[in-house]
Amino acid sequence: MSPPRLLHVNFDELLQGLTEKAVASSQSAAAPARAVERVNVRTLREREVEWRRTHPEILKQFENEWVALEGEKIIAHGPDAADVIKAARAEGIRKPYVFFVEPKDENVIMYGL
Amino acid sequence: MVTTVEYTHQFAYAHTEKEGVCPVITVSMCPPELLPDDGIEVDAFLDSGTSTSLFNGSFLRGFDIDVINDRSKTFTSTAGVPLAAYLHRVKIMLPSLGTFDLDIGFSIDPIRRNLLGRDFFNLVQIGFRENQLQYFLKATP
Repeated sequence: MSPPRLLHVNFDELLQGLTEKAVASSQSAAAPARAVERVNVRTLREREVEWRRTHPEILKQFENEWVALEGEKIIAHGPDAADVIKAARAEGIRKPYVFFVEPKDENVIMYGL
Repeated sequence: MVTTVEYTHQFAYAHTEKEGVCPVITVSMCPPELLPDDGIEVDAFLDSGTSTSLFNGSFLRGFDIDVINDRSKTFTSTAGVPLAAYLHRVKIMLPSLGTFDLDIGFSIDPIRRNLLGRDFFNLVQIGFRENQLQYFLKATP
């Protein structure tokens, strides 16, 4: 009589496999047809957010300030958001996008407030 | 039986200077007396720890609206530090998801982050997949 085989199961892989099967099953032809917009949805100001991501060296000089950004152009900046909004409007931006440049410090962890 | 939720919109976490990608959404915000195109667009952290959304009061001054009204609220952080704010009804607009009327607290003190809390979550269905740096929305709760 041969000894019992030891099963080495990676539960993460097992769960992943079961999940993929479940997803495939739910997406089969038997699943009800629904007009669900399941896509990566475009968000407001994607161009500006991408510019922020790729230009940290420029934004560093505006740390602790509010910035109005239109496309790739900084329209206004300063410590008071109201002033920045009004300055952007004075430059012809009817609906400005304003954000605060928080200084990066890896030793500081922010929570909501 | 576990409830299964089907979302209609999937978003990636957005970049922030301080912490890299975070559950931040850019929203259009407008006082009700103004046209939507006369509003502003700002970032807000999606924060399930906040019962009432909180925005920087300076935004209202940007519309020449006085922050102080008769709807005072005190927001308190986990450290117990009080923050004075006043509730104002504003419109929060998201592309393809719709417009949401919210009574948001606008702070007197110059806060750095806007928080969209559970009052917003109550108007939509929202889910997070932190490991994938994604969140999901559906326009109806």
